[in-house]
Amino acid sequence: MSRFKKNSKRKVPSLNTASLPDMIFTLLFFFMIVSNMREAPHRLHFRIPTATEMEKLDKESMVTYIFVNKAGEIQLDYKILTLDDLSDALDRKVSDTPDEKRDKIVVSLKIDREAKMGLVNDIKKVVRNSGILLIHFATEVRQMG
Amino acid sequence: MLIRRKKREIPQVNSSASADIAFLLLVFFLIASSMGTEKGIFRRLLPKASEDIPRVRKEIQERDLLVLKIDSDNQLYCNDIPLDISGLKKVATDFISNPDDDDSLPERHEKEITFLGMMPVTSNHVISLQVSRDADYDAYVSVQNELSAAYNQLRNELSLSRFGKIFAVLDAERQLSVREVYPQRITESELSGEAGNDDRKKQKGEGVK
Repeated sequence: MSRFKKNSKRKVPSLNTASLPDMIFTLLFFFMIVSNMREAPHRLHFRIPTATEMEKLDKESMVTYIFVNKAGEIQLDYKILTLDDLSDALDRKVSDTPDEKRDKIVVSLKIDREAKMGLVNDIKKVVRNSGILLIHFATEVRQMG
Repeated sequence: MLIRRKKREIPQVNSSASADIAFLLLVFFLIASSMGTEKGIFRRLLPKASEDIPRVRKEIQERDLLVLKIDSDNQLYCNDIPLDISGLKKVATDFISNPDDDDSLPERHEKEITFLGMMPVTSNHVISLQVSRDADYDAYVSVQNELSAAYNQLRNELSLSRFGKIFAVLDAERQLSVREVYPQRITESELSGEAGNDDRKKQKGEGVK
């Protein structure tokens, strides 16, 4: 009988969960490094020009991004727009912003380096007509040499 | 069977600190990562002309004006003379500051400025940038970049000699004073037709900062 008694004392060994947080952390790191933060998905492909004299975009300012690719397609937020639509969308953005914040709106232009200046001028005109006066030409750091 | 073997245990690694290590790494990456800081060149546009604020149209003297043109082949012209982009910064700094009080460069006026006292200021200088519709955006940005470089260099020189610091780290009031000595006065317009045609009537935006 004593033999059977001994057997029944056996327990299921408990799982060591000490490394579980580390695994979670590893996952977290992986996703943090792999993902890049962006305001809206880029639907256009573009290469912005390079420059040496650059200023950082102020974190407190309210930034609106306008993307333009080589072919002259314009993207604002999630949509690809024409110039007229862009004008309407910017007007809506300005009227949606409280008065005291309106002079903090900055339009950041991310334009392909091979885009034509005619279109850039038209966009600048549209931006100016909507009452936004601060513009920012997004550039990359120029590698010297 | 009499000599019973002692149950051997596998030694365990003390992992209580590993969470802390991971936290340190996390904090490090959070601080080190730039979170997509956007860099670029700022320009302020001139407000739309309205009935309340009539646009004052000043006559610009010949000596106060620097005409930069970019034609459809991305060639830069400075007062209708072809100029390589690498030479623009020198031309612009000479034009903005007029260090030798040259008659052909903008006139300098003595101006009282807080923190700095009386300073010679070329307050009427205007850089007119005329760009063809067919020019590339890249050419335009590199010209804007060189102009920014010229202003930055002058402002840095002044703030280094007077305050011992570069312009970017000065406090806001002193930055304003330095800006007053070297105000950014760039007007932009579209270049219609070929380079060489004088077309000053079409001036639209002005960059003031």
